[in-house]
Amino acid sequence: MILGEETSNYILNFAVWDLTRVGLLVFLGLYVIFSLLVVRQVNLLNSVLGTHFSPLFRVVALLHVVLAVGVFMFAFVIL
Amino acid sequence: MSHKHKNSLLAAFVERPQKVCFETQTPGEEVVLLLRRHWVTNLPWIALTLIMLLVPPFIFQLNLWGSMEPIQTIPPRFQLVGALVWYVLTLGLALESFVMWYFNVLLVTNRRIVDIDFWGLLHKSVAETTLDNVQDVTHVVGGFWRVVFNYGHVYVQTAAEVPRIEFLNVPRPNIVHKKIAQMIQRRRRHR
Repeated sequence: MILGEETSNYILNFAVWDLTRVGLLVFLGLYVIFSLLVVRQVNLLNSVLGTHFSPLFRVVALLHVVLAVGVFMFAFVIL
Repeated sequence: MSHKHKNSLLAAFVERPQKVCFETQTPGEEVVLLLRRHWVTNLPWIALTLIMLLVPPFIFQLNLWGSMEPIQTIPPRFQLVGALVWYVLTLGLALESFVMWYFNVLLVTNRRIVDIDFWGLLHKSVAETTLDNVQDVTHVVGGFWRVVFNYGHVYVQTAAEVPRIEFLNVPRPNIVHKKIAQMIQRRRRHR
């Protein structure tokens, strides 16, 4: 069966955005893992050198995780 | 000349910092000097962060002017997620760079010199030597920016297992050198 130009364009277009969606979600999944590693790293750093900014760094690292997870969820729902 | 910033914990040269403790600190040991890389060395990542923050609005503006036709073929929901991913990446870059600057420190205590280095995500190295083991201290200031902003390298030659402790791009290396030398002399006099 020979597909019409319009149909093949539609399929190509669909495949491109579907692949982009999967690519973005995989990337964001990896980014969430990275953000969790940053929390681990900040805890390690705080244990080696403690200052009165230590709790603030922990909060910022956790906010970073929340943002990464939030963007992942948002992308999962909207794409 | 006053240095109002010198006792701030965000400074790169802090004398007798308050509320600072480190992993291998012994009872009665006081931190006399806390050093980080000069703030000028942070300019590349700060500039990169600012440029990254400006990229989405810039592309959006180009898009409004109609000079970014390929962007218009991207579905709006992908554009939105793309911008969000970009901003999260920017935050990650800035956070990681700041944390690396903040925690890579050289501590001079009343007993020893401790060099705490972090690199990558989960690597650290802690090198230390007692003041009694220090054989020689040198400092080097070279290059246009180092002369202008008065920062450079301090090298501490030791008789310990770690032959040399080096701290690169610290502010006021001449003062660091002088302070370490004075502390060593004081200790030798009291022995």
